[in-house]
Parts: sequence; structure tokens; C-alpha cells
Amino acid sequence: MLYQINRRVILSIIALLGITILVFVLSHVVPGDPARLAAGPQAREEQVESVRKEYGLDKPLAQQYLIYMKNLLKGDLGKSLQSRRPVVEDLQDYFPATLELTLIASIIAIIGGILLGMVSALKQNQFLDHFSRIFSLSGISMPVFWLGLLLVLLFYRELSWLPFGGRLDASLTPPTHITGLYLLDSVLTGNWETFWSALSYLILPSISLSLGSLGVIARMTRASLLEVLPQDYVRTARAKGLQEKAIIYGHVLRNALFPIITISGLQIGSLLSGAFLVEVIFSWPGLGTYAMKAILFLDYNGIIGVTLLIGLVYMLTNLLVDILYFVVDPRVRAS
Amino acid sequence: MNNHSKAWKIGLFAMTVLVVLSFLLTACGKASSGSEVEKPTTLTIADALQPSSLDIATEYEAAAMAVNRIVYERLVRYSADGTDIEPELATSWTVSEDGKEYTFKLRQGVKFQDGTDFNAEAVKFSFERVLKINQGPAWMFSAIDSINCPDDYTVTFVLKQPFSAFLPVLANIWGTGIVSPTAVKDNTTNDDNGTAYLQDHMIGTGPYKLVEWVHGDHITLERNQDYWGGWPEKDGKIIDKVIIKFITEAATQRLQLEKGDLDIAMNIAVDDLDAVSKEEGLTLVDKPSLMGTYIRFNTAKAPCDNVKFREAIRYAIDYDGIINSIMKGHAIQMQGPAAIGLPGHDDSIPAFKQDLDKAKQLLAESGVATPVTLQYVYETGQEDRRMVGELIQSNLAELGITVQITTMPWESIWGLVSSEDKTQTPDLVANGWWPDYADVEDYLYPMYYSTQAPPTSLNIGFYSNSDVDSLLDKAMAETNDSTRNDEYKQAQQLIVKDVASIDLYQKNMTIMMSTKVQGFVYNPIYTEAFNVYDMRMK
Repeated sequence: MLYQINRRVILSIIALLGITILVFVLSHVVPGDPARLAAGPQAREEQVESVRKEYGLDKPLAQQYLIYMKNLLKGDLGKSLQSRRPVVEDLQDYFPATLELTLIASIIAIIGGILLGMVSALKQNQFLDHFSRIFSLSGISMPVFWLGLLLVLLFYRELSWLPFGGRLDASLTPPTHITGLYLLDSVLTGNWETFWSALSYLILPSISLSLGSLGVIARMTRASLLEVLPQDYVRTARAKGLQEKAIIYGHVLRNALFPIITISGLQIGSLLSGAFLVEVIFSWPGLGTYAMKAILFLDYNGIIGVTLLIGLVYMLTNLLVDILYFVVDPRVRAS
Repeated sequence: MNNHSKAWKIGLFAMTVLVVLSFLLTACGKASSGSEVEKPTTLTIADALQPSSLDIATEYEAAAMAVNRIVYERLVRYSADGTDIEPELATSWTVSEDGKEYTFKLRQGVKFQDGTDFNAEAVKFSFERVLKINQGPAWMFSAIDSINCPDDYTVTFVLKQPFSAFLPVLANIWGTGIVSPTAVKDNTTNDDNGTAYLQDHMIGTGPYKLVEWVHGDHITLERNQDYWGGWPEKDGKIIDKVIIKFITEAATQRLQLEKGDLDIAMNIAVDDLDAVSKEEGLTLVDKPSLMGTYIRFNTAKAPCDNVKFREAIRYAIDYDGIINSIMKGHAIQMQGPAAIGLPGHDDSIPAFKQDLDKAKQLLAESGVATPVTLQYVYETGQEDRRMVGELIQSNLAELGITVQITTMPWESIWGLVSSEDKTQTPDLVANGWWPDYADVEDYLYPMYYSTQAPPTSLNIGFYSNSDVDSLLDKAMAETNDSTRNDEYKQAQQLIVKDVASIDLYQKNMTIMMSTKVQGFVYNPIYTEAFNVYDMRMK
């Protein structure tokens, strides 16, 4: 098991390195002079040169790459052209917002999806099943930004139940930065007003983001359960006289979990990219906002920084999924 | 069977209860926090653009205007609704006979937001810092040779050569804010002149100070209680807090504005303006800015090297169509290359109208054989320039001229127009110009002086007229205002006669505002900023 994990980690690091070269080359191939953009569109040549020198953009490409990699090993992702400060600081500012959104959306998608799928499978072809299948399909089919706007129109504009725009009521100061996750930080500092405000701002964007994945997970859960339910060992368990609840949890769900875990892992990945769209609608100050500006500004360091971070998150998620297999399925443990 | 179905029902019920509970709790939490102690009077503004940095020496984008106008102050400023020069931190000034020395008497008793004193040293320090860092706006101060402080409240700028636009330069936002030398010196790391610190800290003398910048989300400013100008009581409540929210999506700005969560929205979509301005409690500010849009000719390449040909094109264009259909009435047509509203603008230059007969006649007189094809290039994302291109395409087709429209990022355009090979510059380039300072010189020199072709500056298309050059040289050194204006007017006349460019329109600033906001005065050059100090909330 440990060997598997090690192997996986090493392969991922190689993949990440490959990503740096790819993104580096691609972003430099795009025509444009980031120094000019950063200096200002009406800046004179002398000032553009000054910016160019400051960011080392006047050096040959290969040398720029080597300097970048050397710094990377020290944990320095370079300076961002759009924010004039270290990329690491930028990521520390913007990433927690996306992380919080994605985490909450994942929890909703996974728990909601599994529950819905279970109801569907256990009440097959009854009203609840039909309802949940339509609900899942709608969640998958609707574009996430359209869904977001619909929810905003209903709950913000018409009903005034929930707030909209940003992570927190603008008159409140964000909680002391421990993790950057507002919910966690406000609980850790005992700041309850901030906690409730942050939660209220999280509801609409995380639900919009989760519904697509929720649908996918629900359908997979339903299918997987329907495959397991008619199995011989389930019939045997029932014949033995086991409680229905014990059968569902101990035998059916446990065996059906494999594909559900796989799909959930994949969904978390797509949630991260869907988050970018949600961030635009809800003016959520996350990685998507930062990445968009980085791309427009040809902010090389910013672009590579974001890509590496997302690559890292994917890698860790996949690792987690592998570990879960190991925990859940004794067959994996034995091999 | 019964047992598990009951379990499910309980489970689902519990989930539903939890969801509803959290809705209610958060709704209650929101409601109760509203009925607490007297909240500070807050002005909430939505801006799609977030500044890159708050360092006054390097910032050269529209995004920083709103904050820089009220946190930093300058020696002089533009008048409330126009471009006249007024005292701000300087109380009076004199210019030497030869136009090379500007002496300012400074206001006394002013303190920076960190408590230190404002004096001549601070002025000297701030400008020298801009020149040392030498980025963004620094070029505007390149005329400065030295800065002297004969006493604590007198500062003299000695210029290398006379620069008659110096006062308008000092009045604008870029690079001119006076920053506390103590704050910079105490926070300089690794010889960076304080740029890392001033990236997100501001210490000026202005009526508002920076409270926080939550990157990607908002900037909060609060009233500077010790502001030297005091806080005169007027009708309405003084604004204690300013929150600038960065909302990129126009639809989001509109939703929040209509709901009352925003007081000012700067980026409502042009198509939505009519609908939104009809709403109760909202009002539209729709006034011309000084930002010009032009079509520049490559005057070094046939057929646009032919004056009569260019003139034919001038008369073929449907200007009314551009203003009314493309800009939906939210623009004014330019009269000549300098913006309308500036002191030296020649108001006698007409707003040209389409006259296809005249156009055809001029085309015949030009001797250029049709059919002929012209390249029209515009910057990607500038939708109005795209539509202008399409309109021109159909206008010029009437003359037998085919227009091919291409779009590319500004960087690529810059590459083409800066090339040593003059034929690389497209025949027609649509460009926009936003004023660095409120003076016709800022329009005429960079875009029409013969040595200012790219990459030096924005004379795209290589226009060259030695008479224009000498008029601009004379005016630059001229100390008498009315002579200077005359010289600039003559230059404008020549440029129009040469048809160096098609001067299309000046865009309007369209800002949606809640009627709760009072005392806002629109300024054509401080377009993305607000006179918050004089504004009040109902």
C-alpha cells in the first residue's frame, strides 16, 4: 500500500513538472507583451522597459524557465505582474475562497447525491424514484451559471431570503486569517456574527455549483445499488433474518461504494473548474477571478502558479480516492 | 420492508429540517444584525476593475482613480465639474518668465494620515520617488530637472525646458499624489522605494483613508476625522465609509443595484441602461468624457497616403449612425482631434456629416483607382469599434472601396504598428485615447507630432507635417495662455485639413446612481472617481 502511494506521488510530481514546462511554453507563445500591459496602455517605451527588467522578461526564454524552476524549489512562485506581489501571497488570498466553495459544494453533492440515489434505488419505479431521477437529470443538464442566476433571482431578488455578491457582508471584517476558510476561521475565533454571514453568502453559490455533480452521483449511486440489490448474498442475508437497515449499510452500500467513490473523486475535479463560472456570477473572490485576470494580463507567474495549484489539488484528490478504495474494499487491501 | 422505509422517511425529514433551519437562522441573523446600533453612513460602489496596486507612483490604470482621488491629494486639482486648475495642497503658485520654474506656496497645518506633517520635503520626496521608480506615469514628469525647497512651505520645480502643460499634469491622478515620506522610509525593504508596502497601504493627506483591501472582493475606506478641510455640515449625512466592490459581471451589478445593496454601479450594460434608469430610486448620469475614439490612416502607404482619398473617406462615413445606432446616443461626435471640453479646443471645427456625393467627387479627384481594398484593424473586445468597422464597410462599399475587418489583441496591433517596415501598419487602425491630463497638448503631441510614431508614442500611421510640429513646439514653450491656445487651434486646423485621422466620438460615462446619493458632481477627466468629500447621503 505504501509502495503504491509512493509510486503515485512520484508520478504526480513528474506530471506537475511536465505541466510547468507546458504552461510556460504555451503562455510565452501567446503574442503580446505583458510588460506593456502592466506598465499601462499609454505608457512610454522607457517605463515599459523598466517593468520588463524588473520582472526579468528581457532574458531569453530558457533562462527565464531555469530561474523560475530554481525559485520554485525554494517555494517561490515569482512575482505577479497583475498584483505586483509574490504569487504565493496572491494564492494565499484567492485560493481559500475557492476551496471553501468547492468543499461545501462537494459535501452537498456527495451526501445529497448518495441519499437521493439510495432513495431512488430502494423505492425503484415509485414516485420518489421518478422525482429524484428528474431532479438529477435537471441538475446535470442545466448550465451552472444559468442555475446560479435563477437561484439568485428567486432567493435574493424576489424572496430576499439570502444575500448575494461576495463572501461576507461588506460591513463586516473578514475573520482573522488562520486557514482562509471563513466558516472555520470564524468558529475558531468565536466570531459568530461573521460565521452566520459567511454561511448565508455560501448557500446560493455552493448549491448552484453542487447540483450538477449531485445529479451525477445520484444516478451512479442508484445504478450501483440496483446492481448490488438483486445479488445472491443480499438474498442470503435477508434469509438469515438480518435487519433491513443492517443489510443496506453492511452489505449493499459497502459493495456499491466502489464506483460511487470513483465518480465522486472525478466530480470534485470538475467542481473545481465549475467553481470559476460560479465565481463570476457571484463575484466570489476566488482563484477563477484571479486566473482570469492573470490570463488577460499575460501574467506568466500567476498563470503557472494557478495551474500548479490546481494540479496539486487534483493529485491529492486522486490520492485520497485511492486510499479510500484501500479502506473500503478488502480485495484491494489483499492485493 | 417497513423498518427501512421508516428510516428513510426520518432521514429525509431530518435533512429537510436542517436545510430549512439553516435558511431561517441565516435570514434571522441577517435581520437582527440590521437592527443594531447606528450603522455608519456608507456609500457602496460597484466597479468591474480592481487596481493592480495602490502605489501612486506605479498605478497607471483607470481602476485606481476612485481611491486615489480621495485618499491622496495633490498640489493642484481640476475644478469640480471641469478642467480649470484649482489649489489643493498648494495655495498659490507663480511661473517664471521663461516658463521653466514653477514655485508653489504650500498649505500649512496639514497632516498625513499617519500623523506626520505635510511640507515641501514631502512634495520633493514624492515626485523624486516617482522618477526613481520610473514606471507607468513617470514619463509625464520627465521634464523635471530638479526640485528645491527654499523653505518648509515653498517648493520650486525647475524644468529642463518649458512645458506649458505642467499644471494640468500635476492636477491629474497619475503619479501626483503626495505620500508621507516617513511611511515610505519606515517601510522600505531591499531598496524597493516602499513599493511592496504601498502596494496595499496608502498614506496621503486626503479626506478618506484606506481601511482594508480584501483582494478580489472590495476596498473599504473610512472618513479621516482629522482632515484639514474639516467636515462642514450640509444637507444630508456625511459619508463615513466608502466600500468599492469589485463585481465584473454587469448582471450582478444590476441585481444588487436594484435591490439596494449598491448605491452606485459603474458598469451596467449599455443595453440595460434605459430599462434600469426607469426604475424608482435610480438615476442615470450620462455625460461625455474626454476619451476619444479615432480611425488612424497609414499615411505612408497607398492609397491612404493620398489626402483627397482620405477626405473622400471622411465624407463617406455615417457619423449619425455611429452615435445613434452603435453608441445608442451615449456619445458625442468629435470635432477635430482634441477632445471637446478642453480649454484649447477649436470649437469652429465642424462635426462632419455624411455626404456621399461629395465623397464620390473627392474620390474621383484623388486619382485612386477603384476597386481597392483596405485593412481595418481593431482591438479585440472593443465591441463598439467592431460595429464601427462594419458600418464603415458598408459606407465605403458605396465608393467601390472594400474594407476587410480584422481583430487582434492590443499587443499584436502594437507589434504591427511599431514595425520598422511601415507597410506593416494596417491602412485603418481604430484606436482609443484616454487623457493623461486635461490639456489639448496630451492629444495633439503623442498622436500627431512627427517623431511620435510607435513604439515611441501613439502617432500610428506616421502623420507628419512640419508646420504642425513647429506650432506644437512653440505652444509647449508658450507662457501666455491665449497665445498658446491660438497656436493649438491652428495646429488642430492643419491636422483636420490634412485628414490625418477620422475623429469619431467621445464616449459618455454612464453611471447608475441611487437617488439617496446627493451632491455628486460629474467631472469629465476624473471619470472613474467621485467627489465623495462633498457628497452626502439622504
